[in-house]
Amino acid sequence: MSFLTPLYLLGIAAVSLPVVFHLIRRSPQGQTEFSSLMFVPTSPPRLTRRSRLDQLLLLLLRALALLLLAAAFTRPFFRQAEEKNLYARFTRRVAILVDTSASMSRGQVWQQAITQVEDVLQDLEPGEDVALYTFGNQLRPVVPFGDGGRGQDPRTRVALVRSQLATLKPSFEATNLGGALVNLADAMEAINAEDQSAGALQIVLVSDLQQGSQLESLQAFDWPEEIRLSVRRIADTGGNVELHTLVAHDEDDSGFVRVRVSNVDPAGRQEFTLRWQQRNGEYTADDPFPVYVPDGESRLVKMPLPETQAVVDRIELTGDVCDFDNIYYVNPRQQITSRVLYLGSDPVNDPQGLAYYLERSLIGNRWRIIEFASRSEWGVPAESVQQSPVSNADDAPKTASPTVKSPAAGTPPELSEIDLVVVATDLDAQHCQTLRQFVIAGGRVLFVLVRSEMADTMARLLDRPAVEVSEADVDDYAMLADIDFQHPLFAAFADPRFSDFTKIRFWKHRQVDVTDDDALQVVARFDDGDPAVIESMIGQGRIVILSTGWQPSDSRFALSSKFVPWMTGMLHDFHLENRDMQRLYVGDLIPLTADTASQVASSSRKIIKPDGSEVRWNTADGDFGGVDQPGPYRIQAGETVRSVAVNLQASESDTRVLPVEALEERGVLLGVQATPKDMAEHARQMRDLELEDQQRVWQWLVVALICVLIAETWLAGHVERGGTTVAAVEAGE
Amino acid sequence: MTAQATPTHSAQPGSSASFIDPQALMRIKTLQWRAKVVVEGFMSGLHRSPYHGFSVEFSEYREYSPGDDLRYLDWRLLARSDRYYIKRFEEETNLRCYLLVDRSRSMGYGSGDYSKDEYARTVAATLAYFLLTQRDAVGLLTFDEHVVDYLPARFRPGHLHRLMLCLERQMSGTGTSLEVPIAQVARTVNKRGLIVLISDFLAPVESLQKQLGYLRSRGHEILLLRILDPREVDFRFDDASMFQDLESGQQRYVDPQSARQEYLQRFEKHAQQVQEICDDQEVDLYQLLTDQPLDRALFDFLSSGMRRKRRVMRRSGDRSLKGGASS
Repeated sequence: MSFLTPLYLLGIAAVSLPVVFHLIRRSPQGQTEFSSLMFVPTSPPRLTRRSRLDQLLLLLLRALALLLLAAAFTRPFFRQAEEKNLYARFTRRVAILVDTSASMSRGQVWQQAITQVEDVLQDLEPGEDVALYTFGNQLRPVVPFGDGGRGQDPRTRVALVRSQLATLKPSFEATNLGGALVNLADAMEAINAEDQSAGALQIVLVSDLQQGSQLESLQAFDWPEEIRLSVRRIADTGGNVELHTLVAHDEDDSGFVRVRVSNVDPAGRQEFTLRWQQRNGEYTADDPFPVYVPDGESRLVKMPLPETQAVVDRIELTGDVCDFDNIYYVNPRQQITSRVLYLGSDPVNDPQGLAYYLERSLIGNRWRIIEFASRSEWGVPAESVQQSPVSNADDAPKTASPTVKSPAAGTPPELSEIDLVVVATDLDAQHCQTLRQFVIAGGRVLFVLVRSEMADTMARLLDRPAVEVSEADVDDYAMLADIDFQHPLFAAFADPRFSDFTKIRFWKHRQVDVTDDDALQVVARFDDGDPAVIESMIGQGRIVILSTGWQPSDSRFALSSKFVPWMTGMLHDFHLENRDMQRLYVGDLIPLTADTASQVASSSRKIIKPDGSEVRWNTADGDFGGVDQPGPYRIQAGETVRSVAVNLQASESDTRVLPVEALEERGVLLGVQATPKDMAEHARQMRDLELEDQQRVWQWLVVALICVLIAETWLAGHVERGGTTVAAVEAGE
Repeated sequence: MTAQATPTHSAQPGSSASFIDPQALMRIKTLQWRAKVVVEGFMSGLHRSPYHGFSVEFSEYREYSPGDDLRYLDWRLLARSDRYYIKRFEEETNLRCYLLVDRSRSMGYGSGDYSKDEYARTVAATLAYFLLTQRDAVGLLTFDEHVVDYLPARFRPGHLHRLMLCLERQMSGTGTSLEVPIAQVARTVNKRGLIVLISDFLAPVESLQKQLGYLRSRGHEILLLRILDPREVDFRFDDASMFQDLESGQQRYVDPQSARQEYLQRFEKHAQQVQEICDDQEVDLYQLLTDQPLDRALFDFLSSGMRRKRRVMRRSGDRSLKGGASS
């Protein structure tokens, strides 16, 4: 027999009360005042008849009534069969999600994290399945879920997790907490669905929960109802300073680097210093640059470049509490040389021709050298303008004219060194094929359609049988309209302040029929609907067709303020990606660009990581994804070596504490799922309730109680009548 | 001696049919009104002074003895019989009565709706009213272990009111001491009078004889009215409990059923001792239970007066007989 509410069994103790009341020494109930006790003798308490158990049967009946009442309240029931393996029906999957981002490497945070995981492992019960996941930029399973806790000794799983835990260490990645939670929740749901079990799902997050954690992924995620997240925050003393450069280098050649120092997590320190470091870790001879940043504020300082010619690639910040993010890597200064080849009949010094304006629009600087070459025909150098090349960077003006090189007569141009080929003349089929190969390898060609007769050349370049080109009938002038500002050529003009092209008038232009040719993308059209700028992607390069010229006879394009930026964009579009590469962070991909994808055998192309390890990089694999630590990555392709600086994510430096409520606000259900033991206990209670409801033993007990009470009443009445009779007889005597 | 012939009068329910129910009487709040109700219901006549003096009303003859005032010699009898007799007249004097009321804590006990103290004060008020109605001087002395209030015997307007005020004062004492009030009266009252001592006499009786004898030697007549609660007489209590002495505060566990017999024996013994003392001193002792009508107190008072009168007459008769024999 079992009881639903066994605590009421304590009520049985009430049975002893009447007996106890009778047997204990009777103490006087009240107090009687009397005039004088001078005649009153002292009478010791004596056992009267009432102090003995005289009505034993009556007492027993009353005790039985109390017993039945207490038993009815306990709601007794009979168990049919004890379920032995009740726990086996219930499981719980516990995924321990350990933050291995860069911020976990500061202070004693990682040791505390290990301790927290150990605590979780110790609290595990039989029937629980445990898995270990880590996350930085992305979720990584270390020990995935097993069989859901059924039949597997949990100690084995715990030992496995412990052994893997010992191998873990913080990475240099950012904290993509939202993404990790979303992926883990999805994975756990999938495991549960695959297993067709309804086990409780629990995620235990062990993290320092810094403000820099990325939670955006949780915004659009519908958190599963059956998953609960419990957070074990790692407490830290706090205090960190973020270091960041606004521009990778002194691109404007000002001699300064603009550095932002943010005292994001104040720890009472406001004075810091910045110093340049060389690649080998040695400081330059320059004095440390002091920075004062009040608590919680940010300062933008112009840090002077080192006066020496030493190659520096990092800035170190001293004075910070946490040193995991105190080195900021920058790309060492490199001169970039861009080469432009013009194929056209007009001389460079002819103001009515194209070359005259093209040569003047290509503006370089100290770090970007532009070499311009002009040929009237393939292999025939045009009349060229000789300018002295940049011999010394210190002597170079801030805005240098392109260096115009005069190739030797009769020699074909070395297209492998050319970045941009501007074609404004007819070419034969062989040369067109050569140019086409150049484009396929990643080169770029600007084909200026100055005459409708150049249609054949254009067709050969585009590898088309024929292209219909005719002179457009322009009444007065045409203007550019329908410009795709998303295109890199016009992206610089996307801002409404610069997007007005109506002042550029085109007197003449050619009509190019691009209908039924999906390979040709019209980037801009004239206001009469004719294509003005057409792009064709061929291989890894592209051909841009301009259906008009910029010389005064065709348009006023060369004289407008838009021409120089447009032409610079045409040339430097290749280096946009290079510029982006200068802001690489741990976890990013090093993009495959023209220079890295050059005609070098894959076997000789490799990346030397900051720790000295070398990784072979196949172009076929695309972008390089093994960026797992900060520092300079040296890309070696053939003879050329290019360095790319990789830094920690700036958000990782924001070590302020993120409140747990931030997760709740994004729909994450916090809490702890019931353990299998709790669930089994709950199920047992539910089953007991059901059994008791079916049997209803208490009703029979109540019936018995009523019967006992009736008997007791009758007996008490009988005894009372008997006593009264005796008393009456005594009184009569 | 008449005192022996008048033992303690106890309650006589059958003879008090016409008396006023004390419970009803006690519902009257004012003490003076209670007294008035009792007295006017009882008024049946005045007592006469037992003292002989010079008055217009002839009482008896007494043989002349040398030293007697010749003014009272009955010359006509001398002329007629040639014998010397002195005429004696019945003197109508005013009685000087002192009411000694016990206000101790033990008097505060009452098994009914009212206490012994309430009853005693009503008795005292009744007597005072009655005596003042007869133009007698009444004094009052209330006491516990000390003398609480003392009013000399007076007959003057407003004296009754002052008496009532003193009687209505709340009791404040604890114990009972008979020596103090009696000594006070003996010290302050020079002229002979009647002393009515109203108390429960629940106190040791050792010094009572001495004090009463002292008063008697001063020529005072003494009347003891013992006020008792019926429970004090029969000790009928049902349940055992802690009994608390009202005077001393002492507590004692008492099982009435077992203690009753011994209590009654002790109580009776004490009552006998008191009675013996009274008999020795020719003092009248009346016992009044608080459930008896108050008229009985008046009745006892007057009957006591009659007995006193007879005692005086017997004494004087004895003296005259002794004188005649000697002559």
